[in-house]
Amino acid sequence: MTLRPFRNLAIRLDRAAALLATAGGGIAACALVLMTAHVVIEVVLRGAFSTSTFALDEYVGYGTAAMTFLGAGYALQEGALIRVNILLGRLDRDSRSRRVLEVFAVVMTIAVMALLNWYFLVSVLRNFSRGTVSETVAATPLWIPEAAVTAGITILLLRLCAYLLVVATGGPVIEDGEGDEAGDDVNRGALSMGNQN
Amino acid sequence: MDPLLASFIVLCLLVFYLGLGVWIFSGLMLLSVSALIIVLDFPIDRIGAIAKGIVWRSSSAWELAAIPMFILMGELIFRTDISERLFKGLAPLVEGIPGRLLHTNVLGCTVFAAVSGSSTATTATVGKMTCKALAERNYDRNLTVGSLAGAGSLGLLIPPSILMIIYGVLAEVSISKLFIAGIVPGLTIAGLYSLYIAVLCLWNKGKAPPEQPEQGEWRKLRAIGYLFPVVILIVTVLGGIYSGLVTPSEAAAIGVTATVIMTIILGQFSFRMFGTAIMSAVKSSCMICLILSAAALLSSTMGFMHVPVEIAKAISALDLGPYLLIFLLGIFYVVLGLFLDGISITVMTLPITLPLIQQAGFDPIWFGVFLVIMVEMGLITPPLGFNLFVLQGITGESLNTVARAAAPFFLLMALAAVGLTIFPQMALWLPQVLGG
Repeated sequence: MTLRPFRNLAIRLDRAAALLATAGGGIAACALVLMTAHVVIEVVLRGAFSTSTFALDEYVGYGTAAMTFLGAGYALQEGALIRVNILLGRLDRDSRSRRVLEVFAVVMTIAVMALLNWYFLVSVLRNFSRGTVSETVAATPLWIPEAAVTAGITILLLRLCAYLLVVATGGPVIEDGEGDEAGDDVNRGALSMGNQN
Repeated sequence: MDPLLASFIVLCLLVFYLGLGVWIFSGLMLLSVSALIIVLDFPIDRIGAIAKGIVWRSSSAWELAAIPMFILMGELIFRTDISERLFKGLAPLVEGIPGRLLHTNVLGCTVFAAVSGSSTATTATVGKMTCKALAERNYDRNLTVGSLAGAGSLGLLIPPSILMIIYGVLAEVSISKLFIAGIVPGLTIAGLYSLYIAVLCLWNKGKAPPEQPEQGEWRKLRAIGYLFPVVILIVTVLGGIYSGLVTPSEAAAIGVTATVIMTIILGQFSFRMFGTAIMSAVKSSCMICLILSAAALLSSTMGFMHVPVEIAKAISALDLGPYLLIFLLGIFYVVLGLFLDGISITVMTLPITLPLIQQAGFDPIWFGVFLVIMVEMGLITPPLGFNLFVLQGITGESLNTVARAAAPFFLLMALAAVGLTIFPQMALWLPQVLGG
């Protein structure tokens, strides 16, 4: 392929994007810990002191949204985002046709996520300049949680672009559950259901 | 455009995007955007504004928070010595029953299902220990693997259950009530499995090895000691929900805290273990929550095209009668289960099937339980059955062998689904009694 000379560049960019996505995953993990702590504090306050933080639903909701999108790039690179494997599974991992399908999947995903990201960005800027706040006791400026989601989608987009270069220049494709540790292959299933199935 | 033609176009696009291997979350978003452009001719900035609004609203719904928390709890428990504890604790209790240690599969899965929201996690955790232990003692291989595949899938039916949370959010019914409704059908299926194993072992003595002499008087008492931590967790999580004191999300957060405390007391806690558990939970939760927000967009798109209303009209014009409708839906779900995972099936079909069954007079809580059983059946049918994959990983057998071993348990589950349809009170009685 003509793109081969760019392979080293692609690999370097991919490493940088992977670092960013892992950092996003780390922030998502923190969001999950904070959400859990908030809920526990709320239950204790309600049970023992008959009071409340008065913002549980709102903040736990923001936390879920932020966690979902900030961790998206990380989930993608670890092969945790599921897809239908009927066709992909039949093709050899290094074959040209497998690579073409991967490029198609990545390009289409970039297209739709870029659209979403643009409108999130517009909304963040609008909410920031107008000073829109949530209609709750906490009156949170709405641009803050929306910016977290926007940042998450941006990380996912960067991750996808770097991955696109890698695949186009002949690098390896992501396999399902690739990032799992040895003996942890169990969770491949658990992912798919969250198993939850 | 005619809504039925529109739904045909959507179906073709769906097969096209997902079949070519686009990730499910982006495939569903693409599908929605393309349908809005092709079928409804919406301008792109209107589509963008709609998409942003729906994705934001659906991903920041606070009920969803229960999903990552229950997954985290499962990931933490999975990294303890629970598999060993379940086996050592349950083995002495089932010695008197024909088929003896084979019942540790069914009971172990039933108990673990009560702290885990996922079927694959249940199968993996219980199977990790029992597969090897039963093989060493010369139990019938097929029956070991089959009962594990069948019982492991109960993880979704016996609460907590990730799929029930998803159903509750999408169908706008009480998640607590769904959690209560799953109990009786779950225990019934477990009972059917145990009965099948016992009858088969009475019939054919070769399935289970001859009895070994008891070792020590205190075995049964010590067994309870092994099970103690699990029982505490079950009481903490389910007790709160069933008494109506806490919501499922709150129960999940308390469950995570209780699990962390338990691992510290048992001396199995380390920051490394906590770190891998939480990163693993983030991965799975992102996958699920991304699909849910994409599904919300798809659901609205279909609403714009009036697809659910028109399909419901077309089907009610056929005048099928409730039982035939459920039978056809059952076939439909089993076929989908051959190729798709449970979450995708649920989010993609629910906008259409839910109005159908409500129009036919079925309770949405009942349908939630029915749907979960259908998804569980899909978990143990090839070519795509995640429980089979897990067992393949544990046993090293081929997919065909594992699937054949699971077949009788698939039929037993189908039997339970028939029973649930004829006697809907199996699911609806307990929620009425407890008031949820």
